Amino acid sequence: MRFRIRFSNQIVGLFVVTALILVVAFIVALGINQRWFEQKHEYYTEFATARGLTPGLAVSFRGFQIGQVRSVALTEDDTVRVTLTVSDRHIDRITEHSVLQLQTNPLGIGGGLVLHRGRADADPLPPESLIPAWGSARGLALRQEGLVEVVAEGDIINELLDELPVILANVNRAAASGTDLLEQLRQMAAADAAGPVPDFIRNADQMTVELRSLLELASSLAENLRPLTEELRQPEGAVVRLVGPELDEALEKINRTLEHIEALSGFAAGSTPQIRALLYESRDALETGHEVLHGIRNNPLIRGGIQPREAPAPGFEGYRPEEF
Amino acid sequence: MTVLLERLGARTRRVAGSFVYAAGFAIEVARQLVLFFFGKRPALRVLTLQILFTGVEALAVIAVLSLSLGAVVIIQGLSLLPQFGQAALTYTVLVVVITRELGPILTGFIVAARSGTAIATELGTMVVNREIEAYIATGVNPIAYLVVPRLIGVTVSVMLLNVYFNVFGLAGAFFVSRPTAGVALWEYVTQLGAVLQVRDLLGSALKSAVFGVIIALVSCHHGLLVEQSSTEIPQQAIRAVSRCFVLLIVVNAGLTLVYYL
Amino acid sequence: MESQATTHQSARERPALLRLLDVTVRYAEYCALDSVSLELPLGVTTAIMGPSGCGKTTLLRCAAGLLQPHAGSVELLGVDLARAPDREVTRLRRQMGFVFQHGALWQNMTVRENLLLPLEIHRDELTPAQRRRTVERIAERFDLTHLLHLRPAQLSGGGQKLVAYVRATVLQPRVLFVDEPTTFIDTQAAEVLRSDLRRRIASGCTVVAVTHDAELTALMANRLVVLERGRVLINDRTERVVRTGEPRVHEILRDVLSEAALYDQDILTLLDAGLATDDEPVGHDDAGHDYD
Repeated sequence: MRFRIRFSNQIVGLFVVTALILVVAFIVALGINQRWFEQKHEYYTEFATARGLTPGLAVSFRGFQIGQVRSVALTEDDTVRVTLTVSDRHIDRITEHSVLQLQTNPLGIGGGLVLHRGRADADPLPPESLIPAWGSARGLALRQEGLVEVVAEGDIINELLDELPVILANVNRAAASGTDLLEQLRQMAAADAAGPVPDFIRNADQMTVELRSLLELASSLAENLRPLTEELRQPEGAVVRLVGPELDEALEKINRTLEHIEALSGFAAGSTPQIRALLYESRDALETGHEVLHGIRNNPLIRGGIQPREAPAPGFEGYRPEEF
Repeated sequence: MTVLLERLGARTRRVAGSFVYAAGFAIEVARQLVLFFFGKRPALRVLTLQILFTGVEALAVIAVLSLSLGAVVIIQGLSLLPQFGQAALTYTVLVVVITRELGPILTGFIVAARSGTAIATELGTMVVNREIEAYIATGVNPIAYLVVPRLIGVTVSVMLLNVYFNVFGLAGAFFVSRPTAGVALWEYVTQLGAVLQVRDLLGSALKSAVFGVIIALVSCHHGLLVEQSSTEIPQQAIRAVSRCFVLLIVVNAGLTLVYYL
Repeated sequence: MESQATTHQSARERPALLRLLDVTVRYAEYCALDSVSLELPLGVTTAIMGPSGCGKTTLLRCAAGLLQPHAGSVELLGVDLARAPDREVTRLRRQMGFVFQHGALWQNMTVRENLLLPLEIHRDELTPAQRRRTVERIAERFDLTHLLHLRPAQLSGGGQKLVAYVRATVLQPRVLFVDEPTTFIDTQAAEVLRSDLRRRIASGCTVVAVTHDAELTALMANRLVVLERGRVLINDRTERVVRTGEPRVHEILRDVLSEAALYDQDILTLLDAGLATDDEPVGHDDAGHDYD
């Protein structure tokens, strides 16, 4: 005690100076880490809506943060102009044909803008220029032309939700082709009315109608999935309500129908391999849909998420319905 | 009925009177604080001793508390968050818990419990021993000589202890995450540096400064409220600490709210 | 009001040291001073006496501006301490010393620091070394040198009292308030203290003392204030008080003085014998001789 009081000035001095050094070290470490002193380059992009866009949002490339959103503003022509900065070290990653994708996490955390770089031979994009957004007309065009090096990232739910419209469109198309096929078969049957074939085909015809209505159900279900993701942000949403037993039932029915069609296709296998392919694809699509629902039911806030599925072996190489 | 009204009226007057007194006290302290910085400071020694007692001597408690707290937070974070695929959030949680919230308020609590009681008791004893009057008789303003150095000392101490709390807390988290999750130092620092913002540090410092002022003012005020008998001293000390705690909690909530507005 | 009547001596027109007007102090329900009005002249040594709990200490604290009365006003050397600006009050404190009944030494400092603080506050023109030398010289005079490094709690009650006296006089005050200066201390120290008081009075310091010490009263007090239950019973020159026709005053003086004095003399005789002459010293030797 006596020692402490006698040397109080020195002890207190040490205490204060050490703390100050720690603070300075903290701030310097922070500055180096967050690259305050690094030169930054500005780019901008345009979105239809500012939903999910906030200043400070990370811009990442293959999972690494390369910059951040500086400001989000509504322009006079009602587009949302997002200004972002990219640090000097990553400037060469911004090339022509790059596309920015907004990724939101259903849990409402950890989202950000993801940069998809233009193909390797593209020239670097000078600062202050536009990087098209994923969903914009320009972005779509770039993607369709195959000029964008798309790297899937983000979590499974997001990917599935992004892909769902495409999947459903495929299913629809497959069903339509199936109907065409059946129509042809029926015409064949009408020409040769004897034997087991006509019955089977009539039966198949009915099944196709059934399949179609089920697909419509699935399609409306997909409509529901969008608000569902919103609700997922609140852990106690209507997930359980939506993913009731009737959905399982519906999927079961689709599956059964497909099995029938497969039996049919087995019958017609020799002459029309396309049917098989079509059915495989439909089934694949439905399984994906099933996984989505399964994933939603296993609400990641509660448990495990979605188990990765092993890709089913396709029974054919390539599929060209237009040649059918 | 009239008796009830009378009592209510008397009580209101008393409460209002004590508020006016406390406000007057705070204003006088503020005035003397300004004079302290611009005038001569015979109280510099008191200030040094106050930092010694409040800051240096509380360092051990703060270190133990924050080391273990940092460890607990990172253990919980590392075991829970990766289940949602949000392992990176562990660091955010660490910053929120250690830097923004618990750092200032826990240091505040510890200082209030240690030094708040000490200050209230010491000043109360001085009043009873007529030491305060001896200061007045000597021409020393007791606010300037006793309260202001304590105010500065406690505020500086809480702010510095908060720095140490952060350092120890984040170090404790690292010491645990290294063997359990195999996190290397550089990775830890990088991850932490990515989520830690300067405004977190500033907010934390501001909070601890406000808490220091509250603790010092409340404990000095209650210490000087002792009038004559030594039995009042423990009463006022208890009152000082409980009032400090309530004020710290309420002000912390308020400041956190302001931070997110 | 009776005090007004009894200060007929005001014809001499001494400047007033202290003016109390209708001063009332209450501790909860208990009234320590009940509308006291009192005027004390400068340069006259005054003893305040009365039975325990009659408000002597409270009166002294009010007079020195250490206690804010609940009603009434106090003027010390023509300055209202409650309203005067800080600078004025500090100037006044510089000229004033107060010895507390129980010493009231600052417990968190050593004796040396206790004695140094008044010099640090009021004599900042001195270098720290000069201040230390001053303190050491004064300590030597009171035989306190070996106690300088101790804390008050390590001293006896008498030692604390003596240090408190030294602390109050270290600035060579013009006015000295002392509350029971000689109680608790041994006879030798009391003698040192008395002689120092006498020296101070001789050099023009006005002393206002609350005391039970018959010797002190007899040798020094030109004026007596007798209190009972928060009221002034009498406030007059000592010889008039001694010869007053009020039996209650005699009763109190006899009780108070014999209680503490411990020797068996006729107190009033002693008082009579020791009465100071009519002409009190007025000259002020304000210079602090103790400084370098």
